[in-house]
This record gives sequence, structure tokens and C-alpha cells, in this order.
Amino acid sequence: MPMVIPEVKALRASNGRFARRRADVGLCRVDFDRRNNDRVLNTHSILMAEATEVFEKIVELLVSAGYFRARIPALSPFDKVVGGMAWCITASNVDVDFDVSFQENPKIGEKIKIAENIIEGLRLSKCPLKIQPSQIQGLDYPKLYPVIQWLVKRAFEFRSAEARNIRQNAEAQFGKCFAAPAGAPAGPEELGRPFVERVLKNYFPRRAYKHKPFARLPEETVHIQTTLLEYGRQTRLTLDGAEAGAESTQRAGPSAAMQDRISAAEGEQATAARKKDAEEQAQAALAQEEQTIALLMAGMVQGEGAAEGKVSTSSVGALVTLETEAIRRAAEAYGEQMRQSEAATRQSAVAAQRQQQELLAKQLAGLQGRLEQSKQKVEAGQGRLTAAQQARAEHRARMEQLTETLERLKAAEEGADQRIVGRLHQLVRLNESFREQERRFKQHCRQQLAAWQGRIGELEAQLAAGAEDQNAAALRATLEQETQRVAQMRAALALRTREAAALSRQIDEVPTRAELIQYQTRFVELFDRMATTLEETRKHFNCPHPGHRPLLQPRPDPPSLRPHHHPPVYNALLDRKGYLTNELGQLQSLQRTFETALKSRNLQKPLLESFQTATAQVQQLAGRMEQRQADEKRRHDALEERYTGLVETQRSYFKLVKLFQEECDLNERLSNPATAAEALASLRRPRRPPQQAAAPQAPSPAPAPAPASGEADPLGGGGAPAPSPRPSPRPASRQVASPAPAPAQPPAPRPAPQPQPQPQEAEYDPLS
Amino acid sequence: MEELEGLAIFEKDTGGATHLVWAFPNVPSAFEQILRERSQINADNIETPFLFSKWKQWYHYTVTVSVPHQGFSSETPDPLPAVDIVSVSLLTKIFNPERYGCVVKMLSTVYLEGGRPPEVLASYLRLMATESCRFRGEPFAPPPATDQRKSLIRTPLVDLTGPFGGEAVLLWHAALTCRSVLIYAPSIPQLLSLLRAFPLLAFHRQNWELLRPYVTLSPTEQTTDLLPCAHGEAGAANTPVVLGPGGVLAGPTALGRPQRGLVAGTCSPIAKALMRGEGDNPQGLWEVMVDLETHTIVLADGIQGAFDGISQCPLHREAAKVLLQAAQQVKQALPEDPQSAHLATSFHICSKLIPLSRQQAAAVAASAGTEAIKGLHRIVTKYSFSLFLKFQTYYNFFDFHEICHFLGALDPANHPSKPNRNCTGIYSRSWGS
Repeated sequence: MPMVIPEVKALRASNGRFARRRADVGLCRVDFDRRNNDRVLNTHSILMAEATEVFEKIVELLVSAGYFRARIPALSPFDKVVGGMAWCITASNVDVDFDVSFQENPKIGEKIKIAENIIEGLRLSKCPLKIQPSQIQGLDYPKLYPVIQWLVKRAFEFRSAEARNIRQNAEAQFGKCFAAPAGAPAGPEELGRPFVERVLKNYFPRRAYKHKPFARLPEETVHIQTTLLEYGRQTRLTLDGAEAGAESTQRAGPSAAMQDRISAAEGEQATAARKKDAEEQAQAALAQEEQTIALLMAGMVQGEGAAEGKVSTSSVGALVTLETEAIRRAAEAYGEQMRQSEAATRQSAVAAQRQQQELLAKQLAGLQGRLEQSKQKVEAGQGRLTAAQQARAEHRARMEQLTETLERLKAAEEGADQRIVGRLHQLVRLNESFREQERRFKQHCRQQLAAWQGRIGELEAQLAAGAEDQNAAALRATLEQETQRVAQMRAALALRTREAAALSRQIDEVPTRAELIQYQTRFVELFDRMATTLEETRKHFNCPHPGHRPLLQPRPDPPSLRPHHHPPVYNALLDRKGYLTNELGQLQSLQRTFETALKSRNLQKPLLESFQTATAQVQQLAGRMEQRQADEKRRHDALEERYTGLVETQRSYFKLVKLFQEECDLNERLSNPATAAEALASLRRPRRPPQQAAAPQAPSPAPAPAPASGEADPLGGGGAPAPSPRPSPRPASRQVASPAPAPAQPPAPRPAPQPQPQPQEAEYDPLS
Repeated sequence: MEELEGLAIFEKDTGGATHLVWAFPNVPSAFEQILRERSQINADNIETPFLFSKWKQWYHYTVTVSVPHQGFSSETPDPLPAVDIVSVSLLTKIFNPERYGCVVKMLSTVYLEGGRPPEVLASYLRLMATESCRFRGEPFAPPPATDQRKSLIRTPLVDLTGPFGGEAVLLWHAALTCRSVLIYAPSIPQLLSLLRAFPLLAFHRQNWELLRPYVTLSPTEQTTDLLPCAHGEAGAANTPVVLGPGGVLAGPTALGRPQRGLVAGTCSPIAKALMRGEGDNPQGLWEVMVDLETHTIVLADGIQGAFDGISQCPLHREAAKVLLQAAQQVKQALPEDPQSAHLATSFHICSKLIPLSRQQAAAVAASAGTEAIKGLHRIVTKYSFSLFLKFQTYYNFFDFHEICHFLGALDPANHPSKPNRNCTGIYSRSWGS
């Protein structure tokens, strides 16, 4: 069960000398045991240990300082910490004046409030370390630890100082009533102590007389007078400013010593309190008074000692008046002695009294000065107050006036049209703003005018003083700089342009595609020319062989053997000549050998054999030549075929290109919105009648997709607007197509996919 | 139009000196300095003719153009013979670039054609008293003040956050936690168009007053305006305002106390240096730095702690998802059809043509051919202004009509009969949205 913490307890001041102010920090319960003059805390049971190290340290610190509540286990750490801090603040005697009532389980707001109060206390105790309320509320131990250290330190310091003070107090109190038992030396003040006591006692009121008919005093003043006379004070109803010394000459009454004393006592009072008056008046009154006093005194019983005993006055008076004469004489003698002895003391006392008077007079003067000052201040303040009140009254009046006018105007406005009123407001505002702007503008213009005129004056002065050289020199310098810069820039520019020119030259050296094409065409042209010239010249000396055709001659008729009759050419003639000489040689050799062989039979067989071998050789040669010829022919045929095939591909390629170009144009025309309509129209128009060679092909693609999809030929025999030679079936068209290597047809060896490419080429419908 | 606070005209003369030639009623001297710096009047080239920005509580809408000196003769003398560049600034306390941009362009045209401030003052005062005036003989009325909401949502938010992808949630966090954000973009038009979308991230605050759209990061700016704004001192003008009948009042979402927060945009390389960590960040002025060129976000040193754990927070993850989805949707919704592609190309061409000088543009037109220019002109006039706005070429032009006029002028068939006193930007005949 958590401990309930009691409410606020105040620290009371112990006595006037050691004043402790009230500190209301209602967290810790403090009982002040005055008997021991020491502080004793009511401790509670042992605290529970808490978690963090720093908290432990804080707790130890507080406990070492004497805040034993921190050891109570059931208290919350917030409670302990805050209580410890508050306790330390109180322990260091800080004048902190606030009430905080602490309940258990405070909310955050209350915690913050408590924390703020703590911080206020810290501030007042001039703590150099600053912390925030949130740190206290959130129990930021590392931050709180130095603060608590400081507080505890201060508490210790204060406590030691207090202990010292209390010890001194205790000793003083003791020394008042008792003497120290042993070895307490009587200081020099001890010697004068009896004398000082006598002097002090001197001024205690002592009852000298006692009035006999006590109850029968007629009136109050007389009563007072008698009472005072009893104590040896003569009251004079008249003011008496005479000095003590002067007084002493006008004594009247039974006891001169008494009178002396009385007048001395009174004299000092008079000088202290009263002003000086005319002495004659005083003297007269004095005489009268003396008479009354004498009367009163007569009724009094003289006696030393103030003890009002229960003894009857008459018996005592009887006893005393038995030897009044002797007593009086003795008293007179004693009084003489006393006077003599006291004259000296009185002198010194008087001097002391005079000094004190002077001191008091000075104090009085000082106080009066301060009084004057404060009076002045008061007057000034009063003046200000009145002025302020006046002003306030004026303002009030004015305000009332204004509100009154405002209400009047509002009332007046009520009746009018609100729009107009609003517009009026706006216009009035506008007007005022315009006026304000005009004023500001004029002011601004004047300022500017002054500034500009000043500047003009300056410049004129400068001009007059010839300070333009400076300007000109500066300008020249900048000009030179700029021209240099320009030159540099130009040089850099030139460099760059040169580089650019070199690069562009290099780039230009590389031929572009157009140039390459041109070169190519030119080369091809040249080659053609050279070839034709070569052929021409070749024709002149070479025999035009059937397999040997110049390249660029137009393709002749189908390779049918035509009789070529060429004039014999040089090479052929040369060959012929060779052959003929050969033949001639052979024949001559034959002739030679034949004639010799006829003569002798031995040479006939070799001759025959040589003839046979010669003929065999010649036949072999002929056969070889024929074989060669046949080979050449074959080769020629093969090349011829290949050539025709390639030419056909070239032709078909050109055709396709042409078609593609047409389609591109169509596309362009379609995409261009201006000509799109016409292009579409042109498309929808029936196409130009296809060529004759394509006629059998063109209509067939139309039904071709249909039969390809398996349908019967719907347009087979129908009245479709197709040209008439359509119904020829596909194989027929194929037959027509394949042998005819007509260039208008797509490449021949394509029987199966025929339907597909045709729609692309012949009947392309862009809208499908 | 009572909310107009002032007008200032700067000139740069042929000697190279810049002066505040005229101001009505007056301009504080610190503000004058700042206007001068921001108006590009001393820059090497004028990047954009129209820009707007803010200093303390005044927005200024500035038009800076170079004065043409050709096309004049003895009958039509040059109104500003010794002036190279003119910059006209309009000051108000309200953010509405469309409205006040319109007005300032009109006033600048008046000045350029007349060369005398009293004419400008006449138009200005008439606009203040009544919301219209006469311009080139025809009545001129700026877009009404009630259209301010349109101007607030002019740039869609995904244009700003889209290129950042998932990092856009950092921008959202920065907007909600009132950080001071510095945004860098390579060109002023891009900066202005994207930066004005930033307060949409914290739309519930309706506070466009924390924007400083174009800032040159000079020390004066920093001490007088940026630091108080970022630290949330009293009197820093970053609390929302609205235009009431009596003048400018605090907006409905304004807190009673000063609030912090600042979004500033700049094109200066100092921002790049800051992002690399090289420049000095006085008193922790900039907390988040955004680069619209490379689409990166850089946090200042002390602030990274505040942005920790964003990737784990489910709220932020959801916000990131929403932003990404929005960007995806916009990308998909962008037109792919050829008509819009045509449009995009056309406007792209226009944006490239406009900055050229007249001679260069005429040369381009000549080489492109009459047909091309006519086609372009036809396309641009046919399509609506709202569609045109999608292509973000607004800030390169004075007005949509300017493009039409420009293209019409390029067309060699439309030769103006009188000398064309127009500047590099063309001014349309009628003004209005």
C-alpha cells in the first residue's frame, strides 16, 4: 500500500535571531524539535530499491544528505526525486513561496507543475545548472544527478553554517543565565558589568512613594500625577524646555536628591522630545505645580524600594516615621555622597546621553531627509496619478463621444441602401488610401530630388575638378583589356575554324553514297565503253566464235544455229596459214620420203607406218578438237541458261520494285489528308485493265482464294464483272504461266503458293 | 483593385548604370536593392521576361525586357532612346501571379510605348479605383481576384513530386513540420512553376505566404526576410492572408502566434554549393535542400534526426504510396495520341522560337516554310488555353495570345503595316485570361 504523503508543513522561525523563512514545499514532513535546537526528521520505513544505477546514486546522495524518505520502498521514483529536491531546497534556506499540494499518482500536468515549481526554487537558490520540467517529469536521472549533487552540497553547507549559528546561540543563551562551570575567564566586560547594570538599573522606574488615600483621588490627571510621583516622576503639565542643569536650581520638594533625579530624568526627556519655550512662563507654571505636588507629596508616604507589600501603609508609615529625622539626615548625607559620586557618573552619563542625543539627532535628520524625499516622490507620484487620471478621463470622454457618433452614423446608415453604404465605405477608404499614397509619394519624391541634386552637385564638382581623367583612364584600361580579349578570342576562333576546315576536308574526302553511286555508274559506263571498243577491235583480228559473244550485245534470237558467215580475220588466217604450212610441210616430207621409199622396199613400211601414225594423229587431233568444241558448246549452253534465268529474276525484281513504288505512292497519298480522298477514290475505281500476258493470271487470283478455302468457284461461270477468258482453270493457267518466261509474271517455279503472292501484287485492297 | 501597394520602374541605360527611375508611392531602400538584384536587369541575359517573388509581406511581380531601338523614324520617335533594359515591378500583398502578372505586363507595355511614367501612373490609379482601365484604346480588365484559388492550384502537385518518386514523402514531411526548404532549379520559369505547388502538400493550412519564389541568397535578404521567416519570429510574413473588403487580413487558417516555415527557390550556384556542404548555412537557415535538376533532396546536418524513422512510419509509407500512385496515374494519363503529340511538339517549337531575336526567328520561319508556320499557328490558335497550360511553357511567354501573335507575325503573309515596336516578347492586343 503506498504511503500517503502529508500535506504542506511550514517551517517556523525558531526565534527572532535565527529567522528561517516559511518554505511551503509540501512533500516532506519536517518536525522541528525546538528543545534540542536541532532538526530531527521523522523517518519512515526502508525504501524499495529501484532499477537504475543513477537513481541508486541519487537516492544514496539524498540519503547521505539526510533525506531518508528516499529509502522508502513504496514511493514512486518521481516522488522520491522530487521530494529529495524539494527537501534540499528547503534545507538550503531559500525563500520559496508557493503551495504545491501533492497527491499520490499525479498526472503529467501536475507533475509538470510540480517540476516547474522545483525549477523556480532552483532558480531562486541560484543554481548554475539548468534543467527542464520535462526532464524532471520524465525522470531523466543523468541530468538530474548533478543538480541533486549541487543541492545536497548546498544543504550540507547550509547545515554546517546553521550548526555553527545554533551552537553560538546555545552558548549565548547558556551564558545569559549561567556561568561557565570551569575556566570561563571573566573578560574585561565582566569587570564593568556591575557598573553597567547599575547604570541601566538607574533608569528603571522605582517606586519611591506610596499614596495613602489611594481610592480617594479626585481626577485622572491627579491620579496620574500621583502615580508618577510615586515613582518619582514629576509631571508638569506645562512644557518645560529647561536643561537638566538649569532645572536643578529650581527644585522644590522634600528630597533634593529625589528632585535632582527626577529633574535629571525629566530633563533628558524634555530635551529629547520637546522644544524650548520661554522660561518665565515655565517658571510661573512650575511654581504652581510645585505647590500641588507639594500637597500631593504630603499625602504620600516616603519609602525606598518598590515592593508593594501587604503591609498596611499606616503601620509602615508609623514605623518609618519613627525615625524620620535621623533617616532624613542620613538620607541627605547619603544623598550628598551619592550626588558627589554620581556627579562624576552623571557627567559621564550626561556626556554619553549627549552623544546619544546627537546620534539620535543625526538619525532624525537622516530620517527627516528621507521623509522629505519620499514626500516628494509621493507628490510626484500623485501628480502623475492625477495627470493619468485626467488623461484617462479625457480618453474615456472622447471614446464615448466617438462611440456615440459611430452609433449615430450607424443608425443613420441603417436607413440607407446597404450597397450604396458599402460603396461609400469603399470609396472613402480609397480616397484616404490615395491621400496617404500621395503624401508618401511626395515625401519620397522630395527625398529623391534632394539625393539626385546632391549627386548632380557631386558630379559637377568632379567634372570641374577634372577628375574625369580618372574615369577616362579607367575606361581606357577596360578598353585595352577588352580589345586584348577580343584578339585572343579571335585567335582562338581562327584556330577552331582551321580545325573545323581540316576536319570538313577530311570528311569530304570520304565519298558519300550518292557519290559512290555516281562513281559506280561512271565506272560501269567506262567499262562498257572499253568493252565495246575491245570487242570491236577483237572483231577485227579475232574470229567471232559462236560460243564467244561479247557481253553487252543485245540478246540475239533463240539459240538456233544460224549460218554465220564472217570474213576471215587475221587470227583465223594466221591459223589457217599455220595449218597450211603444216600441211605443206607434211606433203613435202611425204613427197621426199615417198620418192626415196619407192626406190627401196625397206623404207616403205616405216613410211606406211609413219603415214598411218600421222593420219591417226591427225584423226586424234581432229577428235580432240571436236570434243573440245562439244565441251565448249555445252558450257555455252549451260551459261546461256543461267544467264536467261538471271535476266528473268532481274526483270521480275524490277517489276516488283515498280509495284512497290506505286504502293508507296499510294500510301503517301493516303496518309496525306489533302489527297487522301482522291487516293481512296482511285483505289475503289476499277483498276486499269491488266496486260495481256497477265490477263489469264489477273482474274484467277480472285477466285483463287475461294477455291483455296474449299468453296466452289462462285465466280466460275457467273456474271462477275471479270474479263472473259477467266474460266480457264488453274492448271491451264499454270500451264500458260510456266512455259512462258514472260517477265510480267512472278517467278515461274512457284505452283503451290501461287494464290498468296498474287493478291498482294495484283488486287491489293487496302481497305480490307 | 485597392490591394496594389506600389509600382517601381528600374532602367538600365546605355552607359550600363542601373537606376530606380520611378516609384509610386515609395519603396523601402532595402527592398529597392533586392528588387534590383532579382529583376535580372544587371544579368548577362534576361532568362525570362516575367517573374514573381516575395520579400517580407510584399509580393513583387516583375517584368524585365530589353528595349528595342529599331523600327522608329522621325514621325514615331523612340520613346526611350538611352535605355537598354526596363524592369517594371508591381507590389502587392496577395499571391496571384495570373492577375497581377497581367496587370504588370500591361503597365510595362504602356511604359515601353510611351516612355513616360505619368501614363503608367494614370493606368495604375485607374486600376486601383476601378478594376479596369483602357489599354491601347480598348478596355482592359485583369482576371478577377476571386480566381485566386485557381492560381493556387495552377501547377499540379505531381509535377513537383512526380520526378522524386518515393523521396517525395520527405517533401511532405518537410511541409508538415514547417521546415525551411531551399529549392534549386536550373531555370527561373521551371522554378516558379514548380515551387508554387509546394504549399499543396500542406493544403489544410492554405498558406502560400511562406513562399519566397525567387531568391538570390544575398545577405540583405537573409537578415531581413529569410532568417525571421525560418525562425518564426513575430512579424515575419509567413502567416496566411486573404484579401478582404477592407484590405489584407489574416487568413482563416492563421494561428494567432508567429509560425515558422519557409520555402525559397533560387537559381544561383550557391545553392548547389550548399547542397554539397560547402557554403555556409547561417544559423541553420536551410534545413531541407531540394534540387529539381537532379531530383535529389539533401537534409542539413542538424535536421537528419527529425527525419529518422520516416521509412518505418506507416503513415509516411502510405503518403509515399499515394504520391507515387498519383504520379503514375498522371504519366499514364498523359496523351499518347498523335493529336496531343502534335500539340506538344508545336508548343515545344514555340518555346524554342520565342527566345530568339526577331531576325533569327524570321530566318527559322523562312527555312521552315510558310506551310509549317501556318500549320503551327493553326494548331496553337485552335487548341484551348487550358490545354496549352499543360505543357508548362507559360513562363516563357507573356501570354497565350503572345504565341498566336508571334506566329502570326512570323508568317510572311501577315506583315504589319506600321513599324512593329514590339520587343522580344510580343504583346497581344487584348488582355485577359
